[in-house]
Amino acid sequence: MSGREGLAALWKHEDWWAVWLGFGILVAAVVIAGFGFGIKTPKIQRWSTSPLDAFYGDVTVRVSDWPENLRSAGALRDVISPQTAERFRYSRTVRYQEGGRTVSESLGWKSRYRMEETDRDAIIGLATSQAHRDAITSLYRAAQTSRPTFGGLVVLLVTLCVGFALAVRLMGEKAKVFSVGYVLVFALAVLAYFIESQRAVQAYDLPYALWALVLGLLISNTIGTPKWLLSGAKTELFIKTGLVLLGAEILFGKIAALGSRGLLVAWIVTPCVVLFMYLFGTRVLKMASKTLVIIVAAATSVCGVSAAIATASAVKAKKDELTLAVGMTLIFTVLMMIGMPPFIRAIGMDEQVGGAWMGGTIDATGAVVAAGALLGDNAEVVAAVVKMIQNIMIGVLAFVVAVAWVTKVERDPSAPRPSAMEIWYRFPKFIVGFLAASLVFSFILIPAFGGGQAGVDAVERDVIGAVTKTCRSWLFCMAFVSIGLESNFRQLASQMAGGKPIVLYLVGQSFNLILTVLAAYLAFGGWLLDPIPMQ
Amino acid sequence: MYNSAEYSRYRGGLVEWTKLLIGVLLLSGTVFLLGQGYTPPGAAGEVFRNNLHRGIDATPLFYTGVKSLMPEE
Repeated sequence: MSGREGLAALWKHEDWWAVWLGFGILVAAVVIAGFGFGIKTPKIQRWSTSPLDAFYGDVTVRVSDWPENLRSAGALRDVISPQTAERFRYSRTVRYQEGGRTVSESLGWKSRYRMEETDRDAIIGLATSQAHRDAITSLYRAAQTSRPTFGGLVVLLVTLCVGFALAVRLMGEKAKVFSVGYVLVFALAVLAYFIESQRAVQAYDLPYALWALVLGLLISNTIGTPKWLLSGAKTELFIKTGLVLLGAEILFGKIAALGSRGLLVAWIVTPCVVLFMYLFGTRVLKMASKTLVIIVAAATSVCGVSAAIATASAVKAKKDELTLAVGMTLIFTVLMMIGMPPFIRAIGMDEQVGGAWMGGTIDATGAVVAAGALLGDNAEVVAAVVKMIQNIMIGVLAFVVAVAWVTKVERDPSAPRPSAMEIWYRFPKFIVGFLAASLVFSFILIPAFGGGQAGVDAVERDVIGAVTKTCRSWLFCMAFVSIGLESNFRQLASQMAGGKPIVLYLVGQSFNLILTVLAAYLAFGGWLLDPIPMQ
Repeated sequence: MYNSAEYSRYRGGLVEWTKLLIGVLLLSGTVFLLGQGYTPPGAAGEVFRNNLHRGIDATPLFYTGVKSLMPEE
């Protein structure tokens, strides 16, 4: 990349286009939330046995104090017909704070199916208060009309296509050729999401990133990727735009609410592990690719796939390096999710310490919450808090790594020290958008939405939850499809380099486990601070 | 990011399309088997069983993707 193009770089370079497109989506999301238009980015819904369920939204009503023994799908199947239990759901959202959590509850119904009076009566039979019966009656009324998402998906396809086609055109490529390939990339992303949204697949922790890569690799390693399809596979543009949107999800105000103990586990251990893994990979294992080392280190110590994507883009890594790091983190996340809770229970470790240990070491957030949930409520609270604080660190990490790469790692040691201008020319500009989005959302938008916890909630619900988060996931999903389409197994195998990346991951993760358990005992186990009195 | 080597160019002969078809069938079979919700016995399957029973989605990559951690929409 050259920043020496002057002002023309603003519309000729992919990094800047990621910033414009990302901020375009963010501004649209704020306008939608500000004016209360109620528009949401369409997503593929959870489905169990009927695949078409994936393309219909749910209707929901608020409820409180729903009976404890009727909250899981499994328990509901025991008391109402399996068909009704399949369509009805209880869900809750939890606001985690250092001292515990507050819970809000809701009941939902799959809008693909009209709720019959027999369904309503069966569910009312479970109610323990008049408020429950009123809520179920409201749900019954709302569940008389279906809410398909097909139309929304087409609108999303067209909207994103127009934005990216404009960018592609101004960067000197043919918009029409891009659009044809883009449609199939989007269709493959829908398929990847559709597979991920199956109930059991979600329980196994097999995310869209895996399926998107598999689908892309399946095409590229059998018939090969046609040129017209490759034209729509704009990996970098999708990833960088998605990262700008991810920046908006990093709200610094959350750290204050989540508390200082999590910082001890997440923010002191994490930099130590990144540094240790980098030195181990480059000096002990003598791995040729420093970019691969830093991606694996970030994925292991911060938050798996998201951190790998952010770091890979910041250091301009090869696509197969990102694929390898993502593959390893996906495999080890599942192994740690199933292995850590039974181990923690077997050795009699305190729930809070166990939760902090898992929150600081299991890579993906969903897997952390699932593993914590098995151990108990206290473990789930602490695990989620530690992981959320670690998630927020992704912005700092991407920035520091980008600066270090430009000023130290990529610098010719014999060349004179680069000027500030030279550093700016080489600096990945989308990182500026990534940080700007985080700062604007944290320090301007939250106060504009009421400030404090209410402001954080409003921004998370109406802007991030309704629009940008799902948009970002679609972009990452299309990026992984594109990476798969551009990779082949031989290249991936060559990245293994005698198994060194796996050795790096295993040694780094072991170091992470040791350091994190010590920090967990210090912060939650009474070594330095007393355990948190849970509400 | 960039590619370290040439991508796999289109070479769509009968053999290649047959390979794709086999791959699609294998993938469909895998997804079908996963969808049945089989879990390993004992401690190895404990988290999976808990996830299935409580309807927990373990796939989110970032905290904003975890439905229970976000304010109710």
